[in-house]
Amino acid sequence: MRKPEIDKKLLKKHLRGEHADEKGVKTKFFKEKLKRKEVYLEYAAEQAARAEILKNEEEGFIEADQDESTADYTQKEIVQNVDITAATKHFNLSLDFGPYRLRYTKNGRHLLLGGRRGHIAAFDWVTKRIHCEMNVMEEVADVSWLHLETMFACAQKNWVYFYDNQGTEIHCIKRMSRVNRMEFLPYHFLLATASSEGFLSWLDVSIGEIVAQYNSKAGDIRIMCQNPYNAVLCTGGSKGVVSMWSPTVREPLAKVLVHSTPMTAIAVDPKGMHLATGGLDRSLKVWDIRKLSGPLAVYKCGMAVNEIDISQKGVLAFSTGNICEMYKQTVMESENPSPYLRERVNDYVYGLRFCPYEDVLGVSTGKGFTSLLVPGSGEPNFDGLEANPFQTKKQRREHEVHALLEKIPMDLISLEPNEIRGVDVETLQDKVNAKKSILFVKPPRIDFKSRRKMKGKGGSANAAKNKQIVKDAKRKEFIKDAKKARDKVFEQHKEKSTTEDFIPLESSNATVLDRFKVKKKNK
Amino acid sequence: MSASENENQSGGEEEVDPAAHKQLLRSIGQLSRNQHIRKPTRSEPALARDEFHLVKPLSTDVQTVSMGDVVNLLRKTSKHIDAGKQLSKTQHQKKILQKPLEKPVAERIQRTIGYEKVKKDLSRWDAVVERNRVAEQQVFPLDYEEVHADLPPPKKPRGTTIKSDLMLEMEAVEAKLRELRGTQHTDDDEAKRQERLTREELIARRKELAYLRIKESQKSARARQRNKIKSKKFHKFLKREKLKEQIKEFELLQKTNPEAALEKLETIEKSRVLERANLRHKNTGTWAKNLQVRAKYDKDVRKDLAEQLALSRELTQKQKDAAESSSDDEASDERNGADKEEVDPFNPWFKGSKKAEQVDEVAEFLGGYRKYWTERNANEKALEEYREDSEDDLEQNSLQNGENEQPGSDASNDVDESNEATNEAVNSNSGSENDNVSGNMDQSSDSDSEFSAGELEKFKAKLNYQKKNVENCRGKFTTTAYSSPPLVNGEHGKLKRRKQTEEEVSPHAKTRGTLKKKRKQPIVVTSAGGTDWVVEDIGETPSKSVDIDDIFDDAENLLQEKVHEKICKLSKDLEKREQRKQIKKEKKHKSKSSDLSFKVKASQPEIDEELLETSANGEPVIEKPQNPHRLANSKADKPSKQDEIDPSNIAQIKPKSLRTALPDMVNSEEFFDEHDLNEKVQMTIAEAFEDDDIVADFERDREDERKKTANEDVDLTLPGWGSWAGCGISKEKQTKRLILKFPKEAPRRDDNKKNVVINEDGNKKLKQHLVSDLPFPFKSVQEYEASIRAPIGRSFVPETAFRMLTRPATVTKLGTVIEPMNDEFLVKAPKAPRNAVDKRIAIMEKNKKKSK
Repeated sequence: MRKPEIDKKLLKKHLRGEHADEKGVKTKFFKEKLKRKEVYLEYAAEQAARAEILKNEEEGFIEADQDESTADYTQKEIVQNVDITAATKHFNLSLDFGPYRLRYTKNGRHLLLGGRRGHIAAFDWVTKRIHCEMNVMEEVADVSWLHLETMFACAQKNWVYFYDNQGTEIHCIKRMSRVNRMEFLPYHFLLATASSEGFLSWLDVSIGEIVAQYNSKAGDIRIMCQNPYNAVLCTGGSKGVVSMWSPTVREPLAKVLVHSTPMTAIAVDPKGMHLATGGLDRSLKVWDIRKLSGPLAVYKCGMAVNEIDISQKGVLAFSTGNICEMYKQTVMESENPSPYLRERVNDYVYGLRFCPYEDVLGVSTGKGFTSLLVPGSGEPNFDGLEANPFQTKKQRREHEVHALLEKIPMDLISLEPNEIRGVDVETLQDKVNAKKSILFVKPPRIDFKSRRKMKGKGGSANAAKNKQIVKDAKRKEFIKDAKKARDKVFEQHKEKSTTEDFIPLESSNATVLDRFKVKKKNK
Repeated sequence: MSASENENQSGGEEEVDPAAHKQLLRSIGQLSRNQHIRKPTRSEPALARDEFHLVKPLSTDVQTVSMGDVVNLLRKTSKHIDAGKQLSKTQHQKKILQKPLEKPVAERIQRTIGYEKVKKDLSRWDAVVERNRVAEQQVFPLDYEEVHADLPPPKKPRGTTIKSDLMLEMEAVEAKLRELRGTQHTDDDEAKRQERLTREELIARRKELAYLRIKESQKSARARQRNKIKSKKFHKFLKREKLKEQIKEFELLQKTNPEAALEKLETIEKSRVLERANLRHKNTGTWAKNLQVRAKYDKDVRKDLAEQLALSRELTQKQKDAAESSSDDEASDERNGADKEEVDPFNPWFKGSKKAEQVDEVAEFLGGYRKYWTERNANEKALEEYREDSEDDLEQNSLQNGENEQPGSDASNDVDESNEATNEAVNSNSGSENDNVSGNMDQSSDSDSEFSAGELEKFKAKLNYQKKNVENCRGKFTTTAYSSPPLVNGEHGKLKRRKQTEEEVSPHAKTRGTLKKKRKQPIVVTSAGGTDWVVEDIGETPSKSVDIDDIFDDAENLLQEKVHEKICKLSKDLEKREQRKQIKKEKKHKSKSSDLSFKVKASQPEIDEELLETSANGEPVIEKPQNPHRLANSKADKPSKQDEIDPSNIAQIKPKSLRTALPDMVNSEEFFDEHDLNEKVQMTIAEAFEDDDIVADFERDREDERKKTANEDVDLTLPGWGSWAGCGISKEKQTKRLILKFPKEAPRRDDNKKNVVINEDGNKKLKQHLVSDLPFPFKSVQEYEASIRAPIGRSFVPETAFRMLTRPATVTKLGTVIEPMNDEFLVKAPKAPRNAVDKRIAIMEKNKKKSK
């Protein structure tokens, strides 16, 4: 029985680049090996492509009737028309403790809310089971889950506090003071914070150490997000510039002038392809963040955008005032794009986040939290080993161990994460040049100054003699060293000894024909 | 050789009468009859006799007892007649044991034989070793499958079953049957069983030993014999044979293993050079000097000397290019002949000087040999094929045309034979010309002993042509009434025909001219294959009868068509090749122009490789100064200009206005008109940020950033220096000298993006983790990168693929003894691949073999 054909596109996706050519490999044996390895990789790619058949879940959608647009539908109507489980995902929480910030876990199962006036609540938003709810009796600037739903960080008035999901304070990091925004980099186990003094700090939560902290010299940082593609922090500010930061370099890796006015919002899509920025000029721009070029699209809104987020499936959501608008595509083709959905919430929007693996948009406002249904926003097929919304306790533990084992060192954070699998050509070149230069080194000039001796002790002739002696000695020493180094190089690159069948042109053994050679003259 | 002969002659001059000589010896022997070594006198009876005391008597013919006497004696008595006969028989038959070889020689022979045997034995394993070395996975202990599938079923031990009457009867019947069928089968079986079961190894070993002994004795005998031979001629032949053998080997190697062939060539070269250099035939030795004295008076001696000189010249002479002389051999020969006539044929020096002009590279010498062998092989092959073809046809036709006594193939054969004949005639002509015109020893000896290359070429060409011709004309000739002597079959007939055709040579020569005229369009084939002969030969083919001219015209036409086709094909091939070349060139060009490819640049030094500045071709590599920055950034620079968005174009991207709703906080009355709204808000913003020009700020920032990394020239001029001369003096010269110039910085990644600043040192820390060496088997960076492009971990590839990618190279079964491989493995077919990857690899392997 033959297996079904594999979709070419899928195969290409999993092949991860061009084949290695056997011409670039030295011996026959290794050529064969390389060829065989390609067979393995092809097989792996095919298997992966075949496994795509398991992604059988389809994303949701709304279809409008004639003379209607989907933007006209309110949440109420949507809820009425969906199944019960989906309907439970839309809910409103009216809370009293000031403007709220929100955060979903990586698997999208748990929700963390932090109110400016000290209210913190962590709960499983699907089952509405609360982990903890408390008031820290202090201003809360931002909240963030750590790698698991059992722990979260809270940027309070002065310092950053850590709590477990029971609400017990685990830690307080005083070195991170007056933090405005926080981001957790899940693969590096880093909690990145940006303070109102302009300091950026990265805390390794696996070892409890601040791995980098420096002043960005950008003043108060109030707009920050991470690029999930390369774990680089993107900060925006009043200069209309997006700066990208890594813990290893004190200067921004890149700066992009995105608006000619102060910025109001920033977001990077989960695949790390697009950067969406909002400015006071009431525009929303979409950039290609990998090429650092753009804008790919410029949208004009009625008012300045105050929050932006992009879902896993590319739904662009932004809020202007108390209105949340969602667009099906990040980069829209039509001249006058009409929104996919539009919802008016009860107050000014302070936080906007799509829930991963769910068709849900969480909106936190000044007066509480609203969970909106946005059909077709979330990825319907989840990878259980990557992020499992239905994870059991055991699985969670397993995942934690795996994640720790696969932790990426912070040194590798750079604009191009794939750079790690390349060769450092520059250094390679330098090494080659160094090796070459060894063969042609010149003895250095020695400037010897003899010690000044008392009159009548040394004499100019003696001094000159001494000078010569020292010079000669140095030169000899140098030549010896150089020869050694040269010999080493030659030794390394010597041709391998010939096989027994090979008759060398010039053998060390004396032959009859040696008599015809040009003889060395004895001096 | 002549020298030895001379010596023999000189030795034979003083004649010796053997009888007189014998007499003389005898009389000398008589002078002292007393024996110096006394016979031992037996004082005591001793059982053992010591061989050292057996003294050979002095006069052999008197005292010794000859075998004949004994035989005669035995014959006399009737009792011992048989014994006498046997004795005489043995005397005739016996072989005296030869003196054993010297110990070192014997040992050497033994060693070589042993070495060869071991080598042969081991070489059997080569394939297995190779296979195992590249095997993806090996499982130990090895499972040996039974190779002999047709073993008899195991016998039940006797007496365990009681046979019924019927069974007994059946057995009896079977036995009878077996007898009837003959015992052959059973015998075979039994022998096999015996072999398998008993003494199998013993016999094998004995055989082997016997074989070895035989070999050894043969070799030793041969060596002994050869050593004994004093004939110089023999040794000369031996040497020549050896050389030929070497060349043959070389030919073989040339096809299979060019490198080894090259080495072989070198050794051959060496031997030749050795011979050439040892002044052997320069007539400078004592022998030659002695002869030179006599040469004045003796013609033979002169001849001998001349021969020697000619030989030396032959060795040093450039070999005539065989290919050149192929087509216009006759004409050139004639011309040469005319030239040579003026020269004194007996003056070797003159000849030498003439030849010396042609002397060329040493390599030509061997080239001749090579050509000779290749041609000869090709000829033989062609001949065989042709013969087979013709024979096949002959049979077929004889079957088909029953009474018709002139099968088509024969006709064609005849035609071909006639071709041959002409060829021969031409050759003989040329030969005779040579003989007549010049006493050129070289040439005559060449033509006699070795094939002249031109001849061979021609012959080969003709053969090829014949083949074609046969194929072309076969169909036609069967029907024509072409009269030729009836053929019985095989060699005999062929011989006859040859004779006949040889007789017909002269008419050919006559007809040739006329036929040539007949041809309407002479075909000039100017292909690389040198096939112009094809056309000419067809003119020569028709023999005496005129009515077959039409046939030949037809054949010619056919041939023309074929030739035309071939030309077309060739030209197409040429075109293709050229195109390919062009493409290659273009590719090369492209690759040169682009910085992206690591692969093509030979200038890129290899880390593990030699630092010598010669490439594999031996051409000096011109190192291109490559900017490392550029290399490093090459990836980032990838996007072409089309992708890069001109910052000035940013503004030109038309903003799309979204139909956003207005939030509650805004007074909706203000925004009743969209345009109005835009203007108003813009106004407010412009007012709000009147002071800070964000874009200008950014640009300044960008400039600063870029300046930081830029290498600026340093001006070392001191103030006031050089300005004393007043105005009007140009400062250029000085300033140029005093400015320290730094290399221009590599292009930055943000060069074309005005709204972007990219930090060039952003990945300094990352670089510490990068590979900065090219590991062993890789030659280029690109290949290495491609080889590690794909992850193999569980979290990146499916589980099945992961297991396959990480399967161990060897699997050993726990708790079992892993025995070394035995001979069975040699005949065992490799296991059929089980999983998908192994299957694919097997297919790949197969394809590779096929393509080879």
